[in-house]
Order: sequence, then structure tokens, then C-alpha cells
Amino acid sequence: MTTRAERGRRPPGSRQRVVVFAGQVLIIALIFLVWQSMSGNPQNGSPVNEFLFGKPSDIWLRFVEGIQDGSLPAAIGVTLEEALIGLAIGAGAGIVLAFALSLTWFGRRVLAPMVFALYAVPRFVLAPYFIFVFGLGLWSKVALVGAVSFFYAFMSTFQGALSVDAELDAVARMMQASRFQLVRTVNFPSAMIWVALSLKQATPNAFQAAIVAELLASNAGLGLVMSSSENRFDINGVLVGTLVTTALAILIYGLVQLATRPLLQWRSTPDADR
Amino acid sequence: MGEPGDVAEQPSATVAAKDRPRPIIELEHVGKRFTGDGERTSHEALQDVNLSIDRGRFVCLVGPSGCGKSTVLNMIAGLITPSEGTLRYAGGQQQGINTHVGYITQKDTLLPWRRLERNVSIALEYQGVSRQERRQRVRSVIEQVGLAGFEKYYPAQLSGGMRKRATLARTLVYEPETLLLDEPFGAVDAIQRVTLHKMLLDLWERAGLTVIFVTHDLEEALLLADEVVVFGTKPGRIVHRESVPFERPRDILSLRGNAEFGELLSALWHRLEASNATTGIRPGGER
Repeated sequence: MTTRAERGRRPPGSRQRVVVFAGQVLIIALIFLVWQSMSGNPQNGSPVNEFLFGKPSDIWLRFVEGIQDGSLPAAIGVTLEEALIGLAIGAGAGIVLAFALSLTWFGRRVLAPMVFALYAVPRFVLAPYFIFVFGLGLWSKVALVGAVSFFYAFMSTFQGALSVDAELDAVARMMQASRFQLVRTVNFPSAMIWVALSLKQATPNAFQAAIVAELLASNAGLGLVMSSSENRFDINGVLVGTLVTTALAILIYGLVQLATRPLLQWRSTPDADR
Repeated sequence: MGEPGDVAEQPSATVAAKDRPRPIIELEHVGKRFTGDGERTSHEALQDVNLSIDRGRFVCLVGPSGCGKSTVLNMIAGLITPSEGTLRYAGGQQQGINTHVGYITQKDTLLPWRRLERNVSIALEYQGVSRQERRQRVRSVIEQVGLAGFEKYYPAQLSGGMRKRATLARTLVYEPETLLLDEPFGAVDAIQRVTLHKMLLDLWERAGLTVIFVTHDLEEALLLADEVVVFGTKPGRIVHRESVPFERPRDILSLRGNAEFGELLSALWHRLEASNATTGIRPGGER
């Protein structure tokens, strides 16, 4: 008898992975190379205006400069702090509230639709209001990030908590599961896929929210780096901020993926002994 | 609904019942009407079903789709309440979920995020059985269904037949007195099905279970059961009951070639076809 374990989905060959990665690096390098060679002063006949579109070598210099004088690491720290605190509070509240509302008829039928209705409020529009209430510092950014990540977590978790298979539920009750045991062994784990998914969606958006709030009004952070560079017509400074933010979001996304993997291990392990 | 006080008011009946073992499952004039939004959409799934099943019997409910055989099973499980008549389980009127039964359906109800051994032990966890006893009982029942060595596998890593055996193990481990099976081996290939049939009969003979087995496959029913109850459609009702004469323990492989078995099978087919002339099912149609 063959099991799926024996048939085994073979992990993608490491050689193939190297080729894929090398190809992607090559394409990015090519883009930067073309950009670098074409960018310059338009009065000298350069096809790409470096005052509008920047120049990779100048972006790099600007990046190194920022690292050396400590302004860039400080800004990264501030934005990271805002995004992570906001994500933890917002997503945490969303997950807990979704579960709580899914448990009772009143929660499901009366309260949850009201939360869904709030989803229609464009969150970024709230940014000026949060700045007005919480000031220029950390907490106005945390509030916006929280408002954004709350809905990602709430929507998915609520959907997951309600998507428990009816037969699974019936069988567990025949086995004399108590209400609490049912939630712990069936409802909660089956919602975990959705929770993990929602965290992955919320992460890049949390960064976006932090940056938007900073761009609007702030006294620190990557958004401030970008807006003050812009005010000095320093396009390379703006691009440093953009690229660093992108890199951070990818990095954190990877970490979330890694952190949620144990939750989803059962879906895709070809090897039972792992 | 039926008359809950019926039995208590007649002490003589209770005394008489002591002489011979009382059937574990009794359906009296049971009907079920499913209503949609209004009377217009209501339909009668089951009409005037009378059925009593003795403890320790292996009974198959057979019939075409829509004959109400699964409805009867779900009523015994306590998932559906009859709209007419009385359903008694172990002498008492059935109310709410029946926790004396094990319930296995065609669908996979293993918890996909639990490894095999933790799936099998779940009922014992619910019931607060100690960790040590749990481990012993789980190991023994996993061996009984031939899954030793696969304890650490997730359901997704097991074949369909193995998942069925795992479900069987998970149900047997808490020793329910009655096993309700709803087309349990429908999605399993023919070769694995023979193994599962043997295993089920073996477990039934050793554990003294009562088994109610729903299938649309007459041959499967005759191979396994003491008694075959044939259902018809429109409305769902019992059209025939047949006692199966073959001795126990059965060798289900040689039974298939037995002449008497073949005669009984075709006789039942004719009966089923006569009572369901309009439903268009025919011998071999669903195999």
C-alpha cells in the first residue's frame, strides 16, 4: 500500500531554486544597470532626468550616508516600532474579538455585522484624526496601523471560526465533547489557517499605514525621511526611504511566514518525522 | 412528536419486556417532513417507518438516493428529530445528540491538524481518560485496524482506505455500543473495500457491537448484514426486510461466488426494482 508520504511530493530541487533566484537577481541588476547608465543631467543629453528619477549610485551614496550618520537606523527603528506595536494590538484585538463574537448567536447575528459595516470606513482617512487625538509621536501611527490590521485579522478569523465542518462538529459532540473542548479542539484549530493568512496580509499593510501616517505629520521615522527629502528636492533620499521600507516589509513578511508555519504544518509536510 | 409517557404508564409492558432483551433501537410510525420556507416547499422524506433492531445485530439499510435511509441513521444519531412517531434508544426516547453511538460517514471527519494517534485519542481526551490509559487503548486499537507504524502521520499523508481505518479506530477506541455507518466505504476502491469489510466484520464479532450500516449497494449489504432493510422512495419508506441466512463468521470472498447468495441478491434486486419502477435504478447501476 502506498501512502502519500511514500509517493511524496518531492521538494523543489535545490538546483532549480538556485536558477530561479539567480534569474531574479539578474533581472533586478539589469534594471538598475540600465537606470544607472541612462540617468543624468538632461542638459548633457541624458535620456532620464536624474533630478526627477534619481540615480542608483546616488541612492546608494545617500543610503551609506544615512547609515553612517545614524539617521537611517534610527528612522527604521521608529517605523518598525510603530508597525509592530500597531500590528500586535490591532491583529490581536481582531482575532480575539472575532472568536468571541463567533461563539454566541448575539455576537454572530447582531454585533459582527456592525463590525463588518465599520470596514466600509476608509481607514487612511482616519490618519489626520489620529494625529489630532494622539499627537505627532508614536501613538498616532500605532492607532492607524492598528485600525488597518484589525480588519484583516477580524474578517479572516471570523470567517474561519464559522467555517467549521458540520459533520466534524456533530461527531465531536457524539464523542461527548464539552462546549469548551469543542472550541479548543475543533473551532480554534480550524480557524488557525485563516488567522495565519490574515497576518500575512496584514503585515505589508501595517507598514504602509505607518509610512502614510508619518508622511502626513511626524517627528521621526522613514516617512519623515521621505517627506523631508522631498522638501529638499532630494529624490534619492525619497527613494532610499521607499526601498528600505520595501525591504523591511518583505523581511517581516518572511518572518511571519516562518512563525506561522508550525500552525499549518499538517497541510503540507511530506515527511511525518519532521 | 410521540408520547413520552407511553412506557411509564404501562408497568405490565415493562415487566414483559424483561423476559426477552429489549431492542436497542425502536422506531414506531416514524415520519419526517422537511420544511423549507413554507408549506409549498415541504417534502416528506420518510413515512410511517417501523423498525426494531436487537442489540448485537448487524443491520443494513439499503435503497436508492432520496429513500430516507440516511435520515433514519441521523435520527438514531440524534442529529434530526422525527416529525411524527417515536424513536427509542435503549428504551428511552431519543433526545438531542446520541452519545452512545459512533458515527462514520463517507466524508472524512478526521481532524486534519492532528496526527493519527492524536486523532484516535480525541474521544478519550474529551472523556477525561488518563494519559497512560489513553496511550494503551490508542495503541491497541491502531494495531487492530492495521495502522501500526503510522501513528505520527497527518491524515493528509494517508491514503483514502487508511483514513477510513483511522476513522474506525477513532470511533472504536471509546467503545460506543452502537456503530452508525453512512456509506462509509463509498469513496474507497474495490480492493481496499474488501479489507475494510473483513475488518469491520471482525471487529463487530469480537466487540459485540450493534451496527447500522447504510449503503446503496445491495451486494455489500448482503455480504455484511444479519438483516437487510430495503427502502423505497417518494415518500421514503421501508418496502422489504430480509433476514440473511449465511453463517458466521463469514468468508465474504467465497460468499460472493455462492449460488444461494447470487439467488438472494437477484431476488432482492427484483423486489427493489418492482417497488422503485419509477426511479430507474437497475442491477449494477451504482457499482
